[in-house]
Amino acid sequence: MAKRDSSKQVRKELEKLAVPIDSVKPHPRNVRQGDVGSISTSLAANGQYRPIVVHKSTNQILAGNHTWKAAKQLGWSKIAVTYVECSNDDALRILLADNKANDLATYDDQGLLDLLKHMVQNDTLEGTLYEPSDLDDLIALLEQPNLEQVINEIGAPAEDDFSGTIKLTVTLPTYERWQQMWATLEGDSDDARITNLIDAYESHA
Amino acid sequence: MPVSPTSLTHTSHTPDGLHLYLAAAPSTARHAMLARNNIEAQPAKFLLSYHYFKAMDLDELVAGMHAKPMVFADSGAFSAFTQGAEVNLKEYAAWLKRWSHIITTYVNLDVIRNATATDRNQRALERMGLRPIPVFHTGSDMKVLDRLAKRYPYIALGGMVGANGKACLRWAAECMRRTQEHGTAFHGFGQTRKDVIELLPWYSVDSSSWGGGHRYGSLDLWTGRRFTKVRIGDAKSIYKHASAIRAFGVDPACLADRGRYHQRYAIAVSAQSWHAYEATLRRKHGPIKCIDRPDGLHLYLVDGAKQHLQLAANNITAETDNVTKRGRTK
Repeated sequence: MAKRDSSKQVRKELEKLAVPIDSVKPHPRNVRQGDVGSISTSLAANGQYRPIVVHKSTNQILAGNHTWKAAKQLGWSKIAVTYVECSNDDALRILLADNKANDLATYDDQGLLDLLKHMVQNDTLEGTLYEPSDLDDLIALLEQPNLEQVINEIGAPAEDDFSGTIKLTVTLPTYERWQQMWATLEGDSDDARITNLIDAYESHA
Repeated sequence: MPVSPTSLTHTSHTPDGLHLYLAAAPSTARHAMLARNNIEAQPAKFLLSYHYFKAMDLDELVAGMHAKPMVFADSGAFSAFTQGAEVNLKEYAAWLKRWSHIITTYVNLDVIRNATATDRNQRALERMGLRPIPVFHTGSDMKVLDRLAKRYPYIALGGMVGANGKACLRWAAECMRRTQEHGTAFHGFGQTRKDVIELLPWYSVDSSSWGGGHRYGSLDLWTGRRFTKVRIGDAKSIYKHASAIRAFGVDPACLADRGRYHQRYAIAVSAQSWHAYEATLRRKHGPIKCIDRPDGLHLYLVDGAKQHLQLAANNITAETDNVTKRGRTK
């Protein structure tokens, strides 16, 4: 497993776009609740590989608010930025659309499974934000089970598979009477004795 | 669009307001996911027990649904027995015939732990012109199953409710193994335990566990790749999965805030969650064949309340409509 360089910051390809991190600020009307921890993990593993988007006239972030927070959390002094010039209303529209577009995104699960398998085989899931349990979930969801293989794993039915346990709580006098009666019942197993008891009850009922 | 709780009271031809909300809901990530994974649209599917539904007008029940569901009927004999009642064979047969235009599948009136009496009922129903699916129980001699498999392409397996999961898995797997040469299709009564239905190629299963949300406040939420439990009124667990809840057209606040909660929201999320899970199982197992019947797997939801079933059906129909539309525009 390759050891990753966790000191990555803005990637070389984006250096020309880097600005002091405090020269831009989170948008006060961003209602998205992002997962800063996960983004920090990704930034630490992969560096910043795409610029955040900032409204030029206000220096407020329209896309990448949580990336900025994660970079701050990691102690970065710079961040790569693309500026857009637009009205305040258009800025809000971009802010909303960027978040909503993420909500509407989804996956080709089979493609994702293939990709994660490829990552595991060739390197590691580190920096992908996926856990081995995600891979297990996808396998459980997508891979068709083989009946013979399932039977080999779980084994054949056992005789006592559907046996029940009878547990009763009674007073001491009742318990003692039960013990005395139990000793008189015929049968070489609990099941045989109980069966005889039920038979006797039913024949008198 | 925010939803304001309204009365659930309605007549058979006046579905309650929830469908209006869903009709207004935009296409969601859930619909897109189903379409992208080529999951075909399926109708709502319900299991109705004669014991509970014998007095109900099933035409009225279905009239309150936006699309005709698949209906699996059983006698409810075990439930009746636990309540000190009995199911009359002739009355059960008459009920099946009365609602034959609604019931798509039905099973024999089984007698637990009595294969002979169960077989007697099977033959009696057949003499009355019916074609019930036979029922085979845990604890019965496997030779009975062997005989059934020679005569019937579809067999229901019973006696597993409340039993140990591994035991059920082993027993059902053995039933499937020994009938492979006949290509028998199986229904698993009360089987929605994940390992049992994910590992075995059931043609159909049913379960009442989808009702945990509206009955007990413990909601099954399908998050795309797994079920997770969320508690009604527990804002932390609900907002953690806010996007999955929104994807089913429900505002998470309607589940998190007891002042805004109505059971319709739990039903909306739960019914669509189980429907999505059915789609996932269908994709996982591939088409499960049964002569003269549409390919499985079919997951039937169980509930005794008409309004719950109608709400569930109309939520599923709304979801299915969106999937179909998306599929067409791909």
